[in-house]
Amino acid sequence: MRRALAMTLAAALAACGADADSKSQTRDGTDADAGTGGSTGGGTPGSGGGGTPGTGGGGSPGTGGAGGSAATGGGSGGGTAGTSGAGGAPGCETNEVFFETRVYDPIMSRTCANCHIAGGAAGATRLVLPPHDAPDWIAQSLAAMTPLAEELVRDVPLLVAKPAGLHPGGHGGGTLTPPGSIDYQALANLATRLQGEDPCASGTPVDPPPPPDDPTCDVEPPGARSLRRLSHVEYAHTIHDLFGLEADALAPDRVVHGFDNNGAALGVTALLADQYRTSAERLATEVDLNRVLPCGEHTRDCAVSFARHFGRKMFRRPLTADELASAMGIYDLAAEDGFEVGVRWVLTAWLQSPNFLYRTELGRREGDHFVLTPYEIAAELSYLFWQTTPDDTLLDLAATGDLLDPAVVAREAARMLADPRSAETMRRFTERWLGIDRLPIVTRDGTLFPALTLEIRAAMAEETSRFVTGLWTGGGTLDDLFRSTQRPLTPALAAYYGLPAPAADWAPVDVTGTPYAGVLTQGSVLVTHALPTTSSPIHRGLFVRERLLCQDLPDPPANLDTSPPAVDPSLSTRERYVAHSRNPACAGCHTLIDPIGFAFEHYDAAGRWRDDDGGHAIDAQGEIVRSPASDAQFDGVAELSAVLAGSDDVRACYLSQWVRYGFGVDDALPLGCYVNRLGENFEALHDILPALTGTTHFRERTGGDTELDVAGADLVPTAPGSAPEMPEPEVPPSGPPSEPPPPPGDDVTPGAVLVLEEVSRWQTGYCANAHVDNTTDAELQWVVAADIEGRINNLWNAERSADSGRVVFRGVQWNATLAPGQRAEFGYCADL
Amino acid sequence: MLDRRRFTLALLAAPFLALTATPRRARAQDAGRARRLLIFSSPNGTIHRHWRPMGGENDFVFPEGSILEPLTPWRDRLLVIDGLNFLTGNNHEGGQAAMLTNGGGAGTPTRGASLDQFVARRIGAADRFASLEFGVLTDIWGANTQTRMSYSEAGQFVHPEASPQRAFDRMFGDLAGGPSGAARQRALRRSVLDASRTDLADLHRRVGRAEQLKLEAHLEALRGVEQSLFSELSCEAPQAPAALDKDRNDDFPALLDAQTRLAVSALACGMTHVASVQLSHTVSPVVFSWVGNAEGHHSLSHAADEQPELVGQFVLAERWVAERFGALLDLLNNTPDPDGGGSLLDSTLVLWTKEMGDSRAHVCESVPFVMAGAVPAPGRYLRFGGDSHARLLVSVCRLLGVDVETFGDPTTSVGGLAGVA
Repeated sequence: MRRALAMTLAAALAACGADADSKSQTRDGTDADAGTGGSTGGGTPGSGGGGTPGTGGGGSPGTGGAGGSAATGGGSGGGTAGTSGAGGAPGCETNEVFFETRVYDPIMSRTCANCHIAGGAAGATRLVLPPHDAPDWIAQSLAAMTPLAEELVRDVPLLVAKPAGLHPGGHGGGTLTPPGSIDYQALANLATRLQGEDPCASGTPVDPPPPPDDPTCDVEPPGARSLRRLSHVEYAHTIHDLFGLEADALAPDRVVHGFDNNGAALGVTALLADQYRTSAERLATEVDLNRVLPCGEHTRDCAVSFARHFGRKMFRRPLTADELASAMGIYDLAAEDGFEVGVRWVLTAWLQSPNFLYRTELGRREGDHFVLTPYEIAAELSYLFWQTTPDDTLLDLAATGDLLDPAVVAREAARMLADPRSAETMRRFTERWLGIDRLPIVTRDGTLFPALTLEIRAAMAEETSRFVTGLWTGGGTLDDLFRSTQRPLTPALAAYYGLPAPAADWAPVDVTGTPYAGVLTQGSVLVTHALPTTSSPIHRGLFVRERLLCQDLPDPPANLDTSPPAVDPSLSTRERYVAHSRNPACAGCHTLIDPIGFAFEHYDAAGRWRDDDGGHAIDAQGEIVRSPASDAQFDGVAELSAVLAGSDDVRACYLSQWVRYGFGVDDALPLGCYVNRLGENFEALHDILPALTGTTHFRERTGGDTELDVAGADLVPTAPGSAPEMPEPEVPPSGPPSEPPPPPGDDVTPGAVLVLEEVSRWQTGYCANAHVDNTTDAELQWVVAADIEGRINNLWNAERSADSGRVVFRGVQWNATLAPGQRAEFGYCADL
Repeated sequence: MLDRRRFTLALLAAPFLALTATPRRARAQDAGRARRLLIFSSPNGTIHRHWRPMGGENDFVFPEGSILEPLTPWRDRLLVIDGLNFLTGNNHEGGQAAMLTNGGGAGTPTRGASLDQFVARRIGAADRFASLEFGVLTDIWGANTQTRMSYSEAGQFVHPEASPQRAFDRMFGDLAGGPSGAARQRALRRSVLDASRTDLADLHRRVGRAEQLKLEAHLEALRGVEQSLFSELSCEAPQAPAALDKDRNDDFPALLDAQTRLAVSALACGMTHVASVQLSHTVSPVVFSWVGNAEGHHSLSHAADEQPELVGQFVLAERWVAERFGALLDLLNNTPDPDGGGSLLDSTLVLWTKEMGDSRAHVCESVPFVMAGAVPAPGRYLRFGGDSHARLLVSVCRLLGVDVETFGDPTTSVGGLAGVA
């Protein structure tokens, strides 16, 4: 439904002169480039479409492989498939060139070709790409993909649906090209081409097929396994609950659709890693050790006990034997300066460990999918309801496996919902959803609005906070959100609005009969969505269209004079904007935006009612058009609020926004499907949280054939009540620190056979996968060597002696030792 | 236990640093060659008729009242560059993304990295920091394509540090100067980093490709941490910046001043060869109240010619930025090159970038650039006829000794700017 709108809009926008600035300013930090954060594409504009015809594929054919014992070399092999189609439209790329330059090089070489090759992790699927050095690899690739482009899954080509996470069966490799991303579009373009439409013949550019209609479904499909780095808010709460200390502020994260907890967008950059480190050292220094120690005596045994017990809180699951050994290794090293120093350094290490910084939602393999462990469910519950680390109750229910019982989950959901911390989650959600987190910093002209002091802004934020948390705990509904006549105010804020004073600070004031009912008339919303000197019908209309109706508008085209209408004392704001949008090129968009915003014209840029607009009479009539279930005309915000309160679009949008926020996804899940499911048990605003725990995504994930269970999966129950049989991992004995095994010399281990295989190559670099086989009859610690082309810039699962030239590789802790016949895998990328 | 920071709040005659290390003599062939890159960016395009110099390549002047007029004292150290277009991005967001990347997906030679990061990886790999990014009011909208300009690779932001205090702590707070305890602390920190890497690699083998990419980026980040922790520092800390609110509109001038000084300190100290100072970001809502503006910078940038009052305010704001750019050049000129042989300005290529051309039209055509410092034959006004700005990015690389033919999307152009490099 929403998709249909997007299509009409796209058409309307072909020559639309939307006010690009206001558009950007409203969305600005709040939506970023939706759906990126994955591997490629991302924020940089793609080179999509147009462009000059391919100048030949990347890669210098046969520039020597990675050398080494049994390296398979080869660059991208002579795959340059001509420049432009014979007789085609000028500048039009052939399918071959398009595939190679727009799809294979930028996307598939990096994401698909690692697995979808003969013998690869996805070698048994229907997409097996030919070797990149095969003479006709492009033709072979296109032949392999054509049937997948022709087969539709819910109207989307299979080829597109799988990596986009739209396939009900999931995609083993996870969501790599989410809908809306540049890569999605490139793949969609390719699919359209492969379906037989030759763009060069017709001379018309190929548009991507429409994104799918929200599918109806019986069972909502779960998403892919994921790692969710703690958002900064989650990090702060977690630190507070574990250490009793305040966390440091951290570099802001990428914002997607207003939310800053999108799992795909959250990573660790060098700056953030440094901030985590500084933070870890400070917290470990300042923490009161009585909080974290389970025992009084300062002995190594106590340290072991601490590692077991507090480690479980830090990692939100029991530590494996390796992890305990690692912690005790650091303890032993640091404890030369005393027990406390040892413990503090263990904390320092844990605070920087990915096992602390990322919440795993990986689970344990069960048949063709993965089932989240009870500890993962404990963390899901806790971060979803309280934005913090699981409490002892949840951890204990995980230890017994009881959280695998849906009835127990429902019981815990009820317990957590009743806690005030769930209302805080609602406050936080609302702040991001409505974009009002910027209230303290939006600039307003102090000479025009002297009464809008910092204190009044703070009171406005507090008002909305108390309003929504009050509705949340009191069982309020969407109707109440938009139409409630109870407004919590201080006397100062009441006076600011011109409302009767409350009996006490934050006592509710009945605003029946005034124009101040519902959230849309609150200062937080009105001030945030306005300009420094004037109201802004465009900002406010866009806010309703995008945030409340979930109907994203495409970016306005460049090349149009989109100057905002100048302030003109002889005209009202509405008149200025109407004149501004009269240009037919502009009207296409602005009929979707401005008429909604006009309904707000009785509220100035400082959030107060006004009878006139600088002496001009105010016309607050407006309308919503081309919305699936909300088209209506109204006069003023009260009538608009009534329309929104009764709109199925708004209801679906509220649920969708919660799926995004609650699961940390953008459009990786089929939202329509989830909305249908969640809607079954949705009356009060707060029903959303328990409803989310009832979805398949809360319990299950999809994953590839070669992916492994979450660490320590063998230490946790697989059914309720099976805890007693769980083994407890060993801890290395006291004594000298558990040094890693002495590094073997640089001599290559006899019988350790290295095979290097290049997986992608471009003009200035390449990546290779490698494996080492133990071909002897005895266990060995492998050391292998190879002549490396270029300079290694990244290496995983191995250590290296140098970056270039003859490089000696050896294993890391978990793969250094190979049993007879066993294989270790590693990989690297290098600059050329 | 953790050796807390040890500051030397030296009162120095020179505004910044006393270099305690013996200056390394610059090699003869390095004389006059750019060895450092400092990017200075300011948002929301320009109004060309108020920006353009008058005159020819060598006899140009900055007209009275024009945006660049405050740079008149520096005229002979500049290359003023006009007439370059972004071919890989348009409008606010597209321009911001293309400004330093020229597009470039994962499959292109630059893999989507921005100019600063691409260069840093090649000339700064051994530094304490491969690069340092300083922001001024860059946090208030969070991180997204509009608010970021540096990319380590396609889609991966390199965030600027918006707080001068935090930037200072990162640069100088862990001065591992303590002779005795420091070695031990280093050993412990190293073991902590190793433990993190082990955990990362263990996770890596359990998850799918999309999550693996995340972990690989994290591993790369740890490499940067390691480098900054364990490399030697050859100078004492300058005075710590005053306490400022990094998100406060009216602290903008003070924040810019503090960040500029830190960027210059970082170069002077030899802790990096690549730095950037990012003034807000595209669609910037900052109100330049200190020059008398009442409207946000972005709104003013779209004022039409029929609104001379608003256009005048925009020019006022832009002139202030030009003046601050001049102050940066002054600072570099008064700071000795740590390798010896002149001032930092002599060895630093300074690039002032914008993300759009004419802000009223929202197009990235004739995007204005100013280069200064270590540039060939300075004192020129170069006009191009719509060439790809990839040429400028290529030239900057070449001037810094990084030999490339293309930058970003390789189909946009091949080669550098005529008359530059």
